[in-house]
Amino acid sequence: MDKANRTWMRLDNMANLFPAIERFSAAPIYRVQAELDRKVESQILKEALDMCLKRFPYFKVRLKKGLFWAYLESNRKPAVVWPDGPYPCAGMDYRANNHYLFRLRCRENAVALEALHALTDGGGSMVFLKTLVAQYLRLCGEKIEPDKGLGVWDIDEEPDEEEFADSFLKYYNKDIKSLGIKSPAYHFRGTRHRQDVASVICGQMSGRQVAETARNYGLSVTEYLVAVYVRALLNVQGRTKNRRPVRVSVPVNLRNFFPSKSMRNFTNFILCEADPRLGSYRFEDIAAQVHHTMRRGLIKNNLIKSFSGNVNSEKNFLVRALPLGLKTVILSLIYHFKGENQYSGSLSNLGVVKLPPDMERFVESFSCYLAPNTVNPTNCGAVCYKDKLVVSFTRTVRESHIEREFFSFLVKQGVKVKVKSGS
Amino acid sequence: MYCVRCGVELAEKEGFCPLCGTKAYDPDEVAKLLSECEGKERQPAPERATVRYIKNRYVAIVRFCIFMSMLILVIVNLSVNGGLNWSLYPLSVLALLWFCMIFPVKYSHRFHPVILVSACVGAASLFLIAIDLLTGFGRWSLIALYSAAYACLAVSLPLLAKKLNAKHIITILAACAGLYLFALDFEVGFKGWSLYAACGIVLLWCFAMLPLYLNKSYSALISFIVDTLAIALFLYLVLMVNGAEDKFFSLALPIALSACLPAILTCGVSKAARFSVYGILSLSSLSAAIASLLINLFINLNLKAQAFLNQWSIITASCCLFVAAFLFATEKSKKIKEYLNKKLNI
Repeated sequence: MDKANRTWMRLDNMANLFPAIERFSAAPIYRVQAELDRKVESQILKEALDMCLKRFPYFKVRLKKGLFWAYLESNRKPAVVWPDGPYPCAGMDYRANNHYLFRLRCRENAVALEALHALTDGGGSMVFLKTLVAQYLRLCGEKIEPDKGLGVWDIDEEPDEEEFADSFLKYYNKDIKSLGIKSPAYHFRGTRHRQDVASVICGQMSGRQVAETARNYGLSVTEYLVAVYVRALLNVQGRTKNRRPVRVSVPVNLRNFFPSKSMRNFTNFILCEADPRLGSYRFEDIAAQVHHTMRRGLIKNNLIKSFSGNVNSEKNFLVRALPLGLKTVILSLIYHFKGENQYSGSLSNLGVVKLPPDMERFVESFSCYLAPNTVNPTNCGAVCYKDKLVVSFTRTVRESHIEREFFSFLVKQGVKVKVKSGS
Repeated sequence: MYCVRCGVELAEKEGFCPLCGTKAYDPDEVAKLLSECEGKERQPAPERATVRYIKNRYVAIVRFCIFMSMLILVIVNLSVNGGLNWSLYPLSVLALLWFCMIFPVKYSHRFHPVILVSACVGAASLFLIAIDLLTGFGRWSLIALYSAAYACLAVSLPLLAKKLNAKHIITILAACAGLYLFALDFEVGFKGWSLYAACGIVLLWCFAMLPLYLNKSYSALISFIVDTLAIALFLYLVLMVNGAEDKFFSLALPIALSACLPAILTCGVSKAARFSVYGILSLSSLSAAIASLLINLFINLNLKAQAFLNQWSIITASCCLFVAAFLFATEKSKKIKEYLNKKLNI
């Protein structure tokens, strides 16, 4: 934060929500992971991290509480590199982590960045991870040129003022009021693991094969994966009474639609729905519904509409005047009824990850994981690198019915899937 | 290795399928066992009874019960008294009941709930007027009619007038409330109490709503000036109704000006000096100190007291001056300002 002599900065519009809803057992954490061609040395990684944090001062922060809102304050303590454990996206022990809002973990040949959503979103985390891995490889003696277009930034460059900005404030429309509450969605219920534990099942498949299968239905890869996820949830719910609509929350990187250099959160969600009370669905029906919902949601004006309500609520005088303690209680209730209660699961597709040619040969794969929340015990992350599409399910329950429905349907569709448990 | 139930390939280390827990099998057996697993599609659950069917059954039962009650009443009245007299009252109650129980249910899909409720309230008002007419028109039913009309307007306007801004709706409702109070006052023989209430509404509207209608850059200054005028008018009205106009210029107006003029000056100075929020608050505290001293001075002059100032105003003014000094120091000190900025998120 030296750029503008900042010692603190406000949380962005979306981040304001996350400190309120954070529980140790279900923290809103996002994990992006890169697997290298060599064993990762934690000492060198720590050195690379310290160098990178100078370029990304908005990540060298700690969360503090003000009278009305929480805020981010510059963190003078050194960042820590942790050995990776068996469970990704576990709750963060801030004191042990020197109050950083991200946790860098390494294991054998894997480097994983787990960041609290209050800090940044998947897009920001991926840029930081790529730059960090590039710096690590440089310290290992490799020659890698930065390429900002591919997300490997020059760490000697001064941070841009726009990287600190909350882009929601730049593009919101002040005339749009908060959106209404939808009826509660279906939530998978299972036997919970003990607290702070999320187990993982990853499926690896060919990105090209999935894209071809998706094209047969006239879908993009994200739409296809969402449709398969909706179908899996419908089938799992089919075994229960009192059926409810199945909704999958699909995060959209708004940087692709609105020019923004912000490294803070700049994401919104589209809810894709299928209501089993209306009758049974063929996969083609789900695919058409998901396709049209996504196309409609991705229209620029609809995107503005989806986040403007939240920004206007934040700017409301009464909301601003509430003390933080009271605000936390109200925000957690709002998040329950307007957030997690309205969808059955999330599917975050980071898309195709590309690296500069001189770095590509050192990195073998990428994967991403979303922490499950208290209401929805299963979430899904997907990322494609070098034609290897990795779809990772994290869950806080023992039963893996959703994953089974998801992957076995892909197999029936002719996609070759290789499954492994654990990150 | 492949899972024979799910059909997925398993990573080398997996002894069991992580999806279903089945032991890993040789790939040659996959095709045969997978075909056995297929074809077990679940049957969709039977559709539940529709809402329309339940509605129709309810309407038929209510209709039958009310019709039978009416029939019995008419037969009894005719057979005992040879004509329809006392039965007209229970019959009109049953007719109202018929309307209120059947209309909202039967037409719930066609009309907005507000219209349905308003129709029921309207029917109840008409029923009361009918009773009033039958018992020799004592005009009490008109009060019920006004109240019902205002209640319906207050509920339906925010829900139906989607194009209207909230501030316009509040303004319309405030105006209607004033008219409603005037109408009530006239109904019970004009005593003048509705003037207080109406002026109170105007005063509250000036305080709360007027700034929303004004140009943002000068809204505070203009609304303070209008508030001062509204307070003065309200005080004059109260004193006039009570026959004490002479106290207006000697006591009420100086007190009102003592409170409002420092606030107007604060607005003007902070705008000209481009103070931050701490500077504005500092000036406001200073204004409050001056206002408390002036108010005390005018009260004592009016009461012809020996001392010009009392203890309460001195304590209030000194507290306000202390706060003003602290806030002014904050305005000038970059370090304190930054600390407070981040804690207060300014």
